[in-house]
Amino acid sequence: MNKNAIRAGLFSLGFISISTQIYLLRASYMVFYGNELILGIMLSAWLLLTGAGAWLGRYFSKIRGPAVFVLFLMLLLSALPALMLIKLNLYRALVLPTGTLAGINDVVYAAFIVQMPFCLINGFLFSALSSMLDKAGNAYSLESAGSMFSGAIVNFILLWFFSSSFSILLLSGFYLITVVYFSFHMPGRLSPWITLLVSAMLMILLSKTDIRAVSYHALYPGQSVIEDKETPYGQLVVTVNSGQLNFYENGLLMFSSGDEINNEENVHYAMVQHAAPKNILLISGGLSGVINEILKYHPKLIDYVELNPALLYLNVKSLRNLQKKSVYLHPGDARRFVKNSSVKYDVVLILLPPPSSLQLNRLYTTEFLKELKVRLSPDGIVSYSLPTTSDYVSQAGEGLNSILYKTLKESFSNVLLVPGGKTFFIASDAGMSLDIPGMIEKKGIRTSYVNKYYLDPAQMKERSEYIMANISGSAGINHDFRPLMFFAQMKYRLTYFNRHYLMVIIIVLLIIGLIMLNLNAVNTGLFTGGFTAGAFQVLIILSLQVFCGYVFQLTGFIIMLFMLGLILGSKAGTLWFSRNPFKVYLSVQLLLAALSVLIPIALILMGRMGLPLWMVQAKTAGITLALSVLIGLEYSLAFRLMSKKPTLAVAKNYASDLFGSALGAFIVPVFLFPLLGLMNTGYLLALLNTAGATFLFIKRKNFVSL
Amino acid sequence: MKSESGQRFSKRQFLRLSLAALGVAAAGIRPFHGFAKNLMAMNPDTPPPPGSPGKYSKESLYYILTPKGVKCQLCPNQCVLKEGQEGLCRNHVAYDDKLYSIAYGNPCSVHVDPIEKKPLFHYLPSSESFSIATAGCTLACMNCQNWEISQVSPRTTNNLELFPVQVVQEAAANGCKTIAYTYSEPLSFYEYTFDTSKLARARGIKNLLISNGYINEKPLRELSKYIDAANINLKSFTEDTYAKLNGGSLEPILRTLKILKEEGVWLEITNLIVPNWTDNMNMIQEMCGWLVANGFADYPLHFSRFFPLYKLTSLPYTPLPTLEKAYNIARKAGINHVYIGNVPGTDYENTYCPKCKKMVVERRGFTVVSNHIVKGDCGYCNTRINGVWA
Repeated sequence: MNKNAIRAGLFSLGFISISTQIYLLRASYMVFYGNELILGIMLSAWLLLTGAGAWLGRYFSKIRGPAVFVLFLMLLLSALPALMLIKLNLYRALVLPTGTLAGINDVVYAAFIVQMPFCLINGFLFSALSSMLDKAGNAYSLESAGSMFSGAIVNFILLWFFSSSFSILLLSGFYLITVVYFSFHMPGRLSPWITLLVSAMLMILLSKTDIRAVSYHALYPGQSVIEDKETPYGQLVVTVNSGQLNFYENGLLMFSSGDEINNEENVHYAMVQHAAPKNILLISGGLSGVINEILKYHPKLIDYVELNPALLYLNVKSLRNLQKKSVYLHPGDARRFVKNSSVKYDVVLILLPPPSSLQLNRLYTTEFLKELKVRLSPDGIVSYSLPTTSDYVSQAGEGLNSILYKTLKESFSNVLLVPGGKTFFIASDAGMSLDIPGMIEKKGIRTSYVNKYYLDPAQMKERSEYIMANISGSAGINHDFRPLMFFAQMKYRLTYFNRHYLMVIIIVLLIIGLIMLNLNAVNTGLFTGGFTAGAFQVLIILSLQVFCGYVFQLTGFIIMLFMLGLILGSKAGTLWFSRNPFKVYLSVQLLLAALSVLIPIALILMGRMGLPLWMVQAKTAGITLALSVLIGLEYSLAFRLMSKKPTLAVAKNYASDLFGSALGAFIVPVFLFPLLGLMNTGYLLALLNTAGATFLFIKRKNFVSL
Repeated sequence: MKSESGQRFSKRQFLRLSLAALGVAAAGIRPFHGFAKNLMAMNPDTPPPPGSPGKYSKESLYYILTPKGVKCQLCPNQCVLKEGQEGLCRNHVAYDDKLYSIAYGNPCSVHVDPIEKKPLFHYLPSSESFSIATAGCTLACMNCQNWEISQVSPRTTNNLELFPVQVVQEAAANGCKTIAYTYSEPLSFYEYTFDTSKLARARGIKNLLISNGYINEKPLRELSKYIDAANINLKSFTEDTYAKLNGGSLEPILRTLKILKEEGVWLEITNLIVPNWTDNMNMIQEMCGWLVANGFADYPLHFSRFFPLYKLTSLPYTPLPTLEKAYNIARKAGINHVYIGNVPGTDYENTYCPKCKKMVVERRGFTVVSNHIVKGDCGYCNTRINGVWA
């Protein structure tokens, strides 16, 4: 078989794989209201299944007509991305009752069932093509190159300019070109023409399929979609039913028009506390109608910051109401805005969703509040809300309330708890009052709900005291590098389904145990290395968000850089270090252990030193590259150490790496990082890699002779 | 690894053995966990009275012992429970071949609320109600606003100690004319509701039942003797929706409405309009037709706006035009007093005389702004306005 055809096959495998993964994860955000837990489950399932497919690749050598079988699988693979996206989008209609939240069971089920065909074939093909190429190190770098190329095209071009349907069509088309190229280098005359015909038919079929439109009815029953924008930050949909506008971001309802209760509570509980609020900062939620409520106070300036710029350019009526003289729209990250602003604000209204992702958690931290306080006037007021209620505060609700309360108390003398449809946290150094109806009346502010007819100060006081009585003194403070609120919010969300997070941990530990039992010393090194890499990829991206704000392109750049490092590392392993691969492999593991401690130190120091932005980005890029080069090198050397059984080596090594990455990307951001913090997580990873190196050292007799 | 006979275990054998052991352990975890949980719960800080599962327990009046276990006869769920097992409501447990309520004297929510919040618009307006609830519920509505207490057991909530005598004392001390059994589902803490309402009646305090109405006839008739007013949630009007949205059935609710009316309990009905679930206007037409045909034309019907909550967070709010359509259907069907709730700033909270159409009670929120009802009659044309106004 022609080696170039195999190389093309490997490159295109990486290409189709990473692009499909990106679109699938984005779709899962929409279907399951994503956060790191959901993302972790989907990604882990992807990597576990791909690893399982790679594992099955050990049987490739026993297949008759291997080239034809590979060609068949490649053709099948080209149709699956579109099919998977349709299946996922329809999941809500076919499996879930109308309008319901997906539980963890649903997510796990969907993650495995929807992704299984693609991932198993993907993993199997990698093993198969690698064994056909003979040098697995090259195979890994080729596949990584394809991933990198695909990641760059998706992140920097497709997501910005094209719909997911069209993008999948383009990506599948590119993949099919390499499939046809592959078929032309196979033995036999018929294969190329059959492949060409099948490819053409597939492309025609794909071009007729609008993935999004197939699922509208399922996702927005009884509503007409009037705006549908796929943006890099997520999917924005505006629907209308009976004249009411409904705004969805990633499938989650953000707000509906005509919701006076919510709009008035979001604004007046805080605004009325200030004697004469002139400069207002509004973070998120401006399209719901809150700006009209703010304007009742005749402010001089309203700075409205929204992360997703597409929200500010929607062609809807509520947006046209934003075009008032005193209202200034600022697309971009709120933390960056606060750092760069020169205005002193009287009231800051933070109308964000609860901190269900690490990205959102950054705006609930003590570090952010300290930055914000610099931009506040002496009697300035900050307002947050959480979805807990005052009828009853559950243990999970108590946890959430307590952490936010304590975090606010770090920066402000007074924190007022206002019971409403949600629980409002109003913080200031100035005094505040619960006699909100009285103050509203005194100021002559006209409201439908926040007034004496609905709110009784005595009853509000009683409920506020009840919430306060359920604030735990031992609660921790929410930090950038110890996101306790993210974890508390996840626990709170899990109570919807009567699930405890410990159950998830136990299942994960069982899976790790099962996997580890089947690994030899070399595979274990790949597993721990993959685990470390998966974990740090997420943590590095989060750190960048903390330092530089949430910038979509930066995230894509880091992922690309990571892929580049893998390529360079695996290439280096193929070309050099042939004399004593065992010694180098062991050294790499120990270096990874060292990096596991050094990286958190570097990130924490960067945060404290207040370096210029370009330096932070450069250092982060350097860290990413160093880590990924080591991982790539490790993979390449692993193949050398197991070169006596190449097919088995490819299968086991690739699977080990993927299993490790899957679990690292899931367990660390979702559990270890929030609970232990960045430094302790680093120590744990160092321990893991050292244990892997020790195991390898003990088993050195099996490998030293190589 | 070597076995006792000196033979080597292979990795595969070890793996199989470990998986088998894990499987056995996992199979045993759930019943053990349940038993352990029950055991711990039966041993709170204060030693339980002899022969009962805990301090906050009372033997139920409605159960029978069957060969399969203790069968609860309180509500249509008709749970059959093995020793230590909790019913679907999580408030009743089988203990020593008897059925006990474990939601007795241990409320998790205690507040004072305006009566209009229940909502009860035609019963002692502008008064305050001492409102209590324990955890638990006989249904499992996907949009429950009090799911943190309704979908859990009293064993897992932070509770106060407030036995029936104390509830009545506290209500009186707070100047409340009524005690409302509300928030979660009072029929699931039936024994507590029953005993408290008896004591309250003796003290001249009225009893309000804010409920899903999911109860069997006999316990309902007994309880009705002490209940003065009720707001029953008529969640939809098809068995299918009741099953899929709420985990219950329609027929028992309709029976409850009839029984409460027969027993002379003042009744108001609430229907929450949930987009794509209960906003079918034909269904609403049918519901209103049934209400009128069965003598409920003069009892207030409250249509309530849905907010995305709990598991139904992917649906939009109920649009006002939808609520208005339902309102018009109800009025046309012959229901005299129809209200729209959770939409502030509209005229749908006011009471109008069914004859002269004048506004007799003006409400804003939970506040009565003006009241032109004189001794239960319209102050303009003397038509009787159904309700308990003083």
